[in-house]
Amino acid sequence: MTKKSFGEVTLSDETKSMLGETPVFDVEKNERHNLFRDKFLELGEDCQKVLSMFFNKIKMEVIMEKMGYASISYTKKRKFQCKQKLVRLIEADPVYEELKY
Amino acid sequence: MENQKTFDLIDQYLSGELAGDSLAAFEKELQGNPALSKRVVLIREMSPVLADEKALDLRKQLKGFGDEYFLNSQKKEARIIPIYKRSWAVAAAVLALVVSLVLVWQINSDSTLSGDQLYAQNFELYNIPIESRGDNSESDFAKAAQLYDKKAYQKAAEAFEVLLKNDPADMLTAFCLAQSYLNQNPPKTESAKTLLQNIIQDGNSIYVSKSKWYLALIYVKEGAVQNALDLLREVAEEGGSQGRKASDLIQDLE
Repeated sequence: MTKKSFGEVTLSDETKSMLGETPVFDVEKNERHNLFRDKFLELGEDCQKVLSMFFNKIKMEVIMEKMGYASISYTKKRKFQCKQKLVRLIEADPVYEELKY
Repeated sequence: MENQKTFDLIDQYLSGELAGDSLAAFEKELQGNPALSKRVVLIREMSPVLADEKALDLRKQLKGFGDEYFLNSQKKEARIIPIYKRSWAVAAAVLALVVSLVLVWQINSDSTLSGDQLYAQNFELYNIPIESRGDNSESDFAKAAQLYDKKAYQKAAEAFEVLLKNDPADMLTAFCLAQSYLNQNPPKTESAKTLLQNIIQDGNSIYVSKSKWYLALIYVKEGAVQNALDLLREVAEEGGSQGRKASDLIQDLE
């Protein structure tokens, strides 16, 4: 059984399930999503554009053309670099540890 | 875990593209690799959140307002005491949430995607079917199609232009030329528009419906919404997958 610690109180999965989507969990989720957005907004303009199109499921060919990149492989490489930077920014923030699932 | 291949695998896994042995191997790796598993959970939650451009704009605006209470104090507090342990902080967060929802509702009620965004979302690369290229792979048409396949769209356009000049009634060549124009960077929409209008006016080829679709997309990009809607309604009436796409786009435009 996995457990999640909330300071001095530890809730089991069953208890959490019984509680359902309480305001506390909503607030946590909202804070986590805002952290994602804040870190995304710290990225450079190019990275924001590439990732935004990727998250909106726009095809690589179209992203390549929109960004004026020379090839699909370079477009994929940029997507990787940007996503890696974003994930590292999020994971490095102490708030993320506090708000983790 | 930091290489491009791993990130690509995570994307493929989350989009359901992994199958068979690749899927089994990745799931096995997930079970024995907690760091990878956490990364997958993060990316799965993060992707739809960051796809919501309106919410991102809203967050940007809120940061721009300089409301340090909401945006900065929560970080400081979280490092010392979790935010939900302070009732005033919970109340503030709930208030922020309510304000956010109201603003999102306002944005949703009076804004739509731009023509360029709708064009980008709906434009799909047209693959020239092999059967249309004839048996002779050395023919001029096949050579032009090969350039198109290699994404050398400008050279492909030059080759199709020569072919069309020799046979102006060949609607397949006209359609392929229009596609070669549209796939250039930036797309040569004016040249493509003339060709697509000619194909529709000719009315005798199997490329009429597709031409209406692509011409409608050009109109969307240009902001000529009524022209686009007229064409899209014709495409929607024909049904099929293209008809469904046209219906979806009509809804977005209306």
